[in-house]
Amino acid sequence: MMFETAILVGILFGFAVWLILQSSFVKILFGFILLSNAANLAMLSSSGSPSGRSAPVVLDGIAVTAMADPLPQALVLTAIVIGFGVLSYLVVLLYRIFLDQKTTNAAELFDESRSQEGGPEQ
Amino acid sequence: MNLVVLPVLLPALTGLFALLILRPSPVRRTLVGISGGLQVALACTLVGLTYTQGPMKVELGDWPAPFGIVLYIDVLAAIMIAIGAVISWACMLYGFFELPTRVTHPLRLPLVQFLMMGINLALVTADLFNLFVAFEVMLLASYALITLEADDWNIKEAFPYLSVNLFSSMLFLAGAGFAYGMFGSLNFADIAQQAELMADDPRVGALGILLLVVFGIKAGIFPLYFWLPNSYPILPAPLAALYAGMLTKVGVYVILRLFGTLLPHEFSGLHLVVAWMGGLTMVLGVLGAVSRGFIRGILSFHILSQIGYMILAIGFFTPFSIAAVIFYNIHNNIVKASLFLVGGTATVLNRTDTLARMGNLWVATPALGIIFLCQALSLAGLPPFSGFWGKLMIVLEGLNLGSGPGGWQFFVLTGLALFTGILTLFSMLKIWLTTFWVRDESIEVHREDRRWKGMTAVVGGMCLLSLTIGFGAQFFIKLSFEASRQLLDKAAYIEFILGPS
Amino acid sequence: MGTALLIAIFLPFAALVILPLAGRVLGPRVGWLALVFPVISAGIIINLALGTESFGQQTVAYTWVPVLGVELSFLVDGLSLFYGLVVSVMGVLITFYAANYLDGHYEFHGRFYAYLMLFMAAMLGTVFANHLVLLFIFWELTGISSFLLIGFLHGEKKSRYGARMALLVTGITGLVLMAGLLLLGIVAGEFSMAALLTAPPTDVPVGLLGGAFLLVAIGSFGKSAQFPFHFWLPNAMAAPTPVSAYLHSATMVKLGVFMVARVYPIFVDLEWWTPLLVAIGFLTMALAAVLAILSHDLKAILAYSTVSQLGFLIGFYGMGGLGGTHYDLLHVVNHVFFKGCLFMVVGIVDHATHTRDLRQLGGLGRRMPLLAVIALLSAASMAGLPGTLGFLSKEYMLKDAFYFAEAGADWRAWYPLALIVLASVLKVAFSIRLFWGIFGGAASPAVKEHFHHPGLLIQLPPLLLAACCLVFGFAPGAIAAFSETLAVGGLHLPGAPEIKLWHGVTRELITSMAIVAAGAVIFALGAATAWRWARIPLPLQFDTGFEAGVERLPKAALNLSRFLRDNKPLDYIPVIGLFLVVFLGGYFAYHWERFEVFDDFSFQEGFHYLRSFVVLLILLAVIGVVALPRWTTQLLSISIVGFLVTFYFVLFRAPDLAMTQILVESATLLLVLLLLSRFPRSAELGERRSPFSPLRKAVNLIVAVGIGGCVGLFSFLTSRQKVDDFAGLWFLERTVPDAKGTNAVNTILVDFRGLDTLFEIAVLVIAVLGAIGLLMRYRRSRQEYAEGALGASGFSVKGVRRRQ
Repeated sequence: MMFETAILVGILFGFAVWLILQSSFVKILFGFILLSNAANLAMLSSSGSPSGRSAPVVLDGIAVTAMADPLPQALVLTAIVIGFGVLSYLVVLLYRIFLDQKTTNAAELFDESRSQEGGPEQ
Repeated sequence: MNLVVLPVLLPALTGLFALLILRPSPVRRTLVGISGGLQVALACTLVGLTYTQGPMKVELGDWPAPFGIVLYIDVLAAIMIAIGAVISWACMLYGFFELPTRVTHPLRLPLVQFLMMGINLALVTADLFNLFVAFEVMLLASYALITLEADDWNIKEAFPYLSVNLFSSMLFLAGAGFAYGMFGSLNFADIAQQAELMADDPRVGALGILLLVVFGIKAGIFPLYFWLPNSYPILPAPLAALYAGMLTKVGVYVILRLFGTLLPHEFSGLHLVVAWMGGLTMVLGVLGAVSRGFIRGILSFHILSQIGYMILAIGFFTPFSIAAVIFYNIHNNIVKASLFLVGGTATVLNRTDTLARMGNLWVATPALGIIFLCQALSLAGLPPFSGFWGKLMIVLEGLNLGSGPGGWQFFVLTGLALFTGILTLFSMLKIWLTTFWVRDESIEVHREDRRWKGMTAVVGGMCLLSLTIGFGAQFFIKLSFEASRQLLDKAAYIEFILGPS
Repeated sequence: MGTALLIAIFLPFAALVILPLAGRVLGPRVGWLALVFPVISAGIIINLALGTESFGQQTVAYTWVPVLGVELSFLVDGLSLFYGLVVSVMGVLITFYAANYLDGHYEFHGRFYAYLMLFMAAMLGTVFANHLVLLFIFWELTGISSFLLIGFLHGEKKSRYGARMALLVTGITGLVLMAGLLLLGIVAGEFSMAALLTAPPTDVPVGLLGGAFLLVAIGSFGKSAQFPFHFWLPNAMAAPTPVSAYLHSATMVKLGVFMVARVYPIFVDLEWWTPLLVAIGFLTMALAAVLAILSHDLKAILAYSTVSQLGFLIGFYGMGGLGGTHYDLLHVVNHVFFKGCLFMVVGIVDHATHTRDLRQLGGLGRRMPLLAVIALLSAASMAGLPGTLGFLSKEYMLKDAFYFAEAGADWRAWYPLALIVLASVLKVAFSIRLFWGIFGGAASPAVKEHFHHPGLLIQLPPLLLAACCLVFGFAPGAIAAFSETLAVGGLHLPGAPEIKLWHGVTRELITSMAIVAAGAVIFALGAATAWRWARIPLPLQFDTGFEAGVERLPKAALNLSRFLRDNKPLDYIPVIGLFLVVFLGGYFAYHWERFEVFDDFSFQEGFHYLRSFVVLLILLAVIGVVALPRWTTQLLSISIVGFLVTFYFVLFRAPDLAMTQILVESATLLLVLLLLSRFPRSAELGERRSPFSPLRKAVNLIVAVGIGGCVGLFSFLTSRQKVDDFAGLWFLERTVPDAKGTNAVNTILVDFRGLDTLFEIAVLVIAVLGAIGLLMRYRRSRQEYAEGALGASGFSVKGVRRRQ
């Protein structure tokens, strides 16, 4: 029974998606940062309620069944790092787009009237 | 040394090697080219072995099955690896002819190898989270490649590509977590076993839907495909061919695994939804292709409509139709990739790929024309080319299901498939009638740019391969049937991976 | 027999390689080399035909794709031999004719003959094919080769569009045929034509069998240019004349007729057979005759008259259920003779005068007397004047129609007769017009200007055909014997059909005479008015409509694709999100009861106070990200979220996660900070105005709330009860003994699931490479890359246009 984690996951997903649906690069980037966190928490929620459990470090005197599930934690750890890789790539891409297209706004980036000058030939 | 890890290891080492040398040189090209050939040979060996001796697996680090990561190759995976190897090799060789060493981007070769590494890992892994990791490797390499040689105008198309895929990756990650929460395991075989036991649990269906959406984004199913046809055209021709041939097909492969292996086979309602999604993808994709006026655009939309065929057949979900999907996949990857390459060559000759300004090629380069004609007719599913057999199988199965009780939906879907075929033909005619048949003295053909010869030779090889698939359909269809049998034989899969219970 | 047949069918495929290569050396003379192929095929098939016996049926089969049950199997019986003879013998004549026709004015002779041989091989394959799939394969090949031949003069727009129209129409209907044949095979459980013919499927669902028939019929209509597909044939006349004579009158367009005859024994008992075929066939016959009389182009007239004749043949088989199909070979062979001949004549006229417009021709009779005689004979046969084969054909045509009318129940049975009479009258009229317009009267200016005399050799094939019209017209016994030898079970009756020249004064003869008289009157009227009224009215110009539709299709498709917003990158994720919300949310809603979401829910267990408090804080921070105006404050909020999540990890008993999260969070923030510092302040200010419409904002809200709700719910459903047997336990048990580490998370990462970690590093490496690629422009200034060292590369040829 972990109502609050589920709510947290829901909140983070909802707000992250809201931000991603905006047009500002910065908002979108923030959205993806939040989304990464949200997905990590969703993954972590599968380890079950941590109440009354200890960290998954095997020490004498603690029963294995009384520890948190280590597998989701390990997976989340991997996911955090992967998420970092992707996000940093996204940051660089946004920078590059800013350099080339002189805009920080997706709506402006894909504004069709812009494609009149210097656009691809089609 | 276990053969199963080689499809991942070989591209990884090749990529590292190319990265270490960095500077493009004939030596680097030769060595990487040889490695490409080796990968093809290895993949063919794998197909042979899995076909004759059944699937292979390796438990990494010798950790027993449901806990450690298991890599698993059956005929289906081996076929996909083989197609990937062939296409990436052909695209690499084509790229060698296309750009001299001086102007080659030094990172292109290593990144392509890393891309193949990610794709192959996604094909062989039997672990849900590892699949996520493999997808990330594959996607990052694809992000990097799509931006690598984009100019300052095209760079913007990378943004939706990245954001849509990132979005789906995050959903995938959450989905993997949910799967672990439900089944207590990430191993495919274990999940499959548990899912059978939990067939009444509605959560299994929900997971199926979530993963279908995630993989559907990768594969490009309606209405999840919009990002695809607008971003692929910014790639250079050989990379576009590789993406078209392989990247989306990984999505199809994973959907096959999802329905064939992971989920219980009784989800007929979901299968029907999938069939309709496939049907719509087919029609809307091909209409998109009809609407475009430049070769890359037309071909990019065709990726979707062809995906639609496969998804449709997955939706039929019979051993026969799954075999049809697999055969279609073999044929379509080759044909699709070579069409992109033909398009690239035509672009080099005409210095544009806008149909309105192309022409004269049937007179100037009949060889290219013949290749295009074969591949285009094959894509449209006209006999006796390879595409015909795939379409034949799908239509046969559609009619078969339709003849059963209450099968009118299958008749409609089969009708859609045939209708799509004719629109495919129409859009291919659009290219043919202008690029090849128009004779206009004001349109230049740069035959003096001798690169087209080597490029055409590579595509010619692929065309031969596709003709072989068409006329030697027996062999490839038999292979597909064995792949379909192995994919759908869940009990054997579970026992093979988890050991006898 | 098997090998010989295979050679006859497959040897011409070798021409695909040989002739284009030989054409480079030989030029126009390659036609004589090409003649080898049809001669061989014709010889073999004549030999086969000589050895056949009435109602004989032989099959030869070779394996091809046994896994699908498809085999290279061929059926040799009267019908296939008959069409085989037509195709191969006409092939010889046409190739001979073409070798004279295609002179140095044309290019690419090798290609031309290669296409022609491809076509012949495909035709032979189609008529001899036994397996239904094989039949379809060859059927489509004829379409492809026809496409190439029509578009042979592809420099001209007319050729390209005619070729496209032909391929699209026959392609669409071909696919329908495919569905029909496959459905037939599935319903009957048998894909061998021979087996289907000997034992027509009984005891199968009539609806499905009827469906198969309908599909096969549509396929046949398309190929044989029946209404409403009749319009493609006149447009196919853009092909060089030998092609028109061969494909578009003598052979390919007869495939639909062939198909109807072929499946006759299978479907004839269906209720629909007669109504469908009779209605479409005779309608086409009359309509095409009208269109022919309204045309001025010689080839268009011949094309429409071909359509008309094909319509009759289809209708003839439709009536067959009552009157018997005894005379089908007579009708077909008659058409092959006179129409092939007329096309060749027209080709010669075109060649000699450079025009095909009847209004500009005339007076050629004195200049080309031999050709005039040839044309006279064949036109007489077309009109059905006594003494020609055409006369006999018309007699028996009328006889069957009378019989059908009398046997019928009501006035509708007179429909065929009425339309036959109408079409025949018009046919007489345009036959006379054709002959007189070319050869009669005084020489027109166009003729005087351009005329040059045709060689004798080129007149040889039409002369032969014209002679056949005459000889068989007087010796009908030969046709009768021929028909008897090539009779087919289920289609023909036993015994030789009775074909006599003179029956006495019968109603057929009287009708026939009346037809000729009426036709002559119409011609006289037309000639008197100089045919000024002859113009095809717009509603009958199906080809214009089709072409307009085809031209408009891309635009319509573009609008559809715009409507689906596939050119609006900003809408991609909303569409995906909406789909996910509808699909997954719908699933949750539909199965709501089964999920038992709030069963055994208790507030105390459901909420942990400290974690709930952190959640509340995170919520506040997240609201801050959305609501706060400045980038810096938003970034601050984001970092607060990050660190609160770290704290949440701690509460989740995940210290390693917390540590990693802090590190990664800091690094991310640093990167973002760097990015923001590069962005201009004006951009930040400009952001306050949202570019979105209210609708889009609503969609955003729905998608955000929907996805948040769905994922949150899903998370709750999967995590509320931990499964007993999860993989994590095993790791906890094995971490110390097997992996020699107490921290299970660490051992999983580096040992148990080391592969994940390995590839996680790969992801980082690739991300770095990608970032390098993004920031270090390698020889990639726009101009430089566009032109490259050797000019444009691949698809990246931007900028070329701008340089010009």
